[in-house]
Amino acid sequence: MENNFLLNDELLWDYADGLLDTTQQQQVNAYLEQHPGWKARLDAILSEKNLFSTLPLEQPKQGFADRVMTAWAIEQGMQGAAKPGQDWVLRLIPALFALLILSPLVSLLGGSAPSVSLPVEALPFKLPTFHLEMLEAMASSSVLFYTVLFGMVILTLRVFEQFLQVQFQYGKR
Amino acid sequence: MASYMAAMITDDALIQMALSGRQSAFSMLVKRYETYVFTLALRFVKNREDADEVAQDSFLRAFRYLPDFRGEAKFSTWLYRIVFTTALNHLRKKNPDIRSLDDETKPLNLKNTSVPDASFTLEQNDRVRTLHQAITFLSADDGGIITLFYLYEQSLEEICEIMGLTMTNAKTKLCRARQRLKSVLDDKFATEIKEWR
Repeated sequence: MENNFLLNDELLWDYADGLLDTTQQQQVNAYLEQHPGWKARLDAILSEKNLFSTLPLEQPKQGFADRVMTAWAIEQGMQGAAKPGQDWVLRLIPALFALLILSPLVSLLGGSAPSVSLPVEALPFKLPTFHLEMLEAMASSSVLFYTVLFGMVILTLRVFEQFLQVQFQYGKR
Repeated sequence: MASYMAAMITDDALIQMALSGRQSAFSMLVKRYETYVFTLALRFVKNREDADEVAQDSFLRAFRYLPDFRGEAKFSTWLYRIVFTTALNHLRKKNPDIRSLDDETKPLNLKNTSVPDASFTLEQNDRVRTLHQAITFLSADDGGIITLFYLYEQSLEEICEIMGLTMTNAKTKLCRARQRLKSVLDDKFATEIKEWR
């Protein structure tokens, strides 16, 4: 059987690449033992195979990973915006923030303030002092006052929500 | 130290971290695979700008479908499959007539390779540079399969998965790619090879 077997370069490459079946492998083994010239060729092929593994990888433009992550953050942000209510934490925090702002105002207006007493003295910053006369004047036009107040609360909520979304997207990196 | 620690984390662990919402895990996966993905994309689309776009799209697609990754194949194989399909879609957008990367192939005249030669006693650096240049002359299909098999050390079974080939088809393509690479070396780098002999 071996007498009919003829080795060529391609078959030897397949042998080196481990693509031959057992019978073919045995045939090549036997042939190589009898033909040192082809054994030398096999060594050259193995050497070239090693060369492939040392080929340099191409480098993408600088900042590639950052660009991918920014695109991913934007995509996730868009998905989050498309599914309101998923990140309930993001909505709870601005709601509490708004409550914090509203509570002293309601107290100043003489309304029924929330029963929760805020630890104002423990805050790391000083709350602004309000001039009662101005508030009283504004309160005399209650429709205007509550409209402005409502608008400010909505605006604060939206701005703060956007701010938190950005912080959450990048904060996890 | 941080990069050493990052290198110690397996792909599977990073995937689990990414699935639990850790953006840093996504970032580490990108940094780990960016050169591999970009190089493969470049082999397929032959243009650095396009390769950048394909590589970025591939990562975004991979992240999007990460919950579907079941770990039946290696993460790299799964990722390279995405690069392959993204590159193919990219080429189709540019030329709607393209059905496979084979359509991009411009076959070279093959020479008889049945006689052993001694062209591989070259100085290591020169040999690497020449081989690197020669690969860029190959078609998308040939360059891709050579890169996957010899450089990325993907098995033939994995290449079948990546490029959607049968085993016989993959063997034939690999053999043909090798022959074309040898033809490129003989035709375009004859002087360099002669000097090294």
